[in-house]
Amino acid sequence: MDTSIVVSLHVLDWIVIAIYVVIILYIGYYFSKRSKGFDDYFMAGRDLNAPLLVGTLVSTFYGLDTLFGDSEVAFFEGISSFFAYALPYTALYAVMAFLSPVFKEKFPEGTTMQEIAFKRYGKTAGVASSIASFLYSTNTMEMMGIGFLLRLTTGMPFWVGTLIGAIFVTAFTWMGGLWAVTITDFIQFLIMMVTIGLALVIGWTAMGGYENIMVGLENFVGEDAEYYFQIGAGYLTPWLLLVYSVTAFAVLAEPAFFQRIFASAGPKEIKKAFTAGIPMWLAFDWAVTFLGIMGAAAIGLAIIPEVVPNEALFAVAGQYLPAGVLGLFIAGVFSAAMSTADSYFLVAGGVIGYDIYKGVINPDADQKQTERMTKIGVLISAALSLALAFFFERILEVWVFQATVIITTCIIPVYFGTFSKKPPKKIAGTVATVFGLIASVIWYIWTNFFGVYDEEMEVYIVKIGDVELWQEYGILIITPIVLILYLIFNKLGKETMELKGDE
Amino acid sequence: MLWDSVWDIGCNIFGFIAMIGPLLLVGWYFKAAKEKFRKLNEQNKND
Repeated sequence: MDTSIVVSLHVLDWIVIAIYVVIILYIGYYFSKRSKGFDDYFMAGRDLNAPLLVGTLVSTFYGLDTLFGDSEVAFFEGISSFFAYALPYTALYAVMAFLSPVFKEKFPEGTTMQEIAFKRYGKTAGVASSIASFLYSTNTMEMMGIGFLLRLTTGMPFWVGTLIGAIFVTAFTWMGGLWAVTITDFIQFLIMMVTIGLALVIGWTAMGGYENIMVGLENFVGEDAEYYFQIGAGYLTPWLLLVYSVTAFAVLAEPAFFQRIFASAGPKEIKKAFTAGIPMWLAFDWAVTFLGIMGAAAIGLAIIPEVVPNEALFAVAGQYLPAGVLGLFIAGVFSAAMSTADSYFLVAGGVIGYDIYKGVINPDADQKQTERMTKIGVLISAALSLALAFFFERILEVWVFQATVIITTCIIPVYFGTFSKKPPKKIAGTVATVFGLIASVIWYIWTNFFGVYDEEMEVYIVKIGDVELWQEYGILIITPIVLILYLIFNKLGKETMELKGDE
Repeated sequence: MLWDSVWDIGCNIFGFIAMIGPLLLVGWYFKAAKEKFRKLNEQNKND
């Protein structure tokens, strides 16, 4: 990658960013002095109420994958990014607002989503879902995003920026745990929402609104650009649009959501938090989509030079936001990455410290030992994230892989395990989790090695006769098989694991 | 601000929600955060 500076920052912008960094690190340090063990570190004492939960729910799930992924799709495809890709997520946040209190009521002492698999189906299912959660919580996208952001603003090489980002986020998460994450997530949520809203309103107005943006888009594509404002247009096939929509089901098996559900002070608090978060998620998605469209139009109008989609977003912001506010915007983008990365490092640490170490290796481990192993898990996750950041090339590619793994492995066993009236059979959850995990990983390896990379579509495609199988289709093929296997083995199996409250 | 097309209106509305929505929650958040800090400090003193 080249080392050109796309966004030039004023000294005032750097002061704003420096203040942000100091505040975040101080809060991490403050909480590191007050943690008394795993429950404090990982569950914030199970005492989070709605106002504290809103910011952490919204900012955790919306990171640079949304910012760059959605805006990249919008840059080429227009509003499909919002209507086909983002709206299904909103629908599922609404579903979670209703379901999350049930999880809290049914598992009041629960800690992680995979604990449901351990309790309902035993160790094998628990370990399989833990591996899926760990893979899902790997922060590759955020690490790539921070490296990209630092390169844009300072000109430093991508790998140096990625390394700096990883060290900063890991240090903060290591020190503060969920308390620090929750307290800072609200500040980060505030900065990222306000600055993205400002960039949208100021930029859209300054560019002359819809009429002039259409002129810019027509110049950009060199033909009629009406499709930018039609749903389902462009190169995205109906199947690919369906795949992107189906990835929204990851919301239902989102390990960071489950951590917050179980860390909440009660079922009502988590329901209120999800409900308050829905309009925020929706507004963020809209803003990112239209900033992507504005990036393409700005190139067409020769307002900014010809740059790649993600750079266009920043070039537009750099063009219209005044000094200080631009610094806040960059801090907002960094916030989006930071709030997501710290939460997932923590979740991945919990998989190692709580699910694997305390759940399987040493069930008698005390609070301090579990906390120590969780912190080691944070380090392992950071190292893996960093390594993968140099392996994957596209942010959306990483997301579809992670969504495939978590959906195929966890959703069906976890939801049947929670909502079935009769206790489910142990073998059903075991087969479903193990098959879901292995099949999704093999699918990705198979399509990578035996598929042909299509430069235009930027996907791996395996051809079997006349049928073209895209790498992204794995989620649509494996999930129904997992469901069928679960239902068959639940019918045939005998052994169950009883829980308090079972009929 | 422009209000000429449905897309102009959409951008104004969602931009407004993004900017104002979190600010409406600030008071609620600070009250809760203050209470948590007070509890944590008290616990720390007692220990």
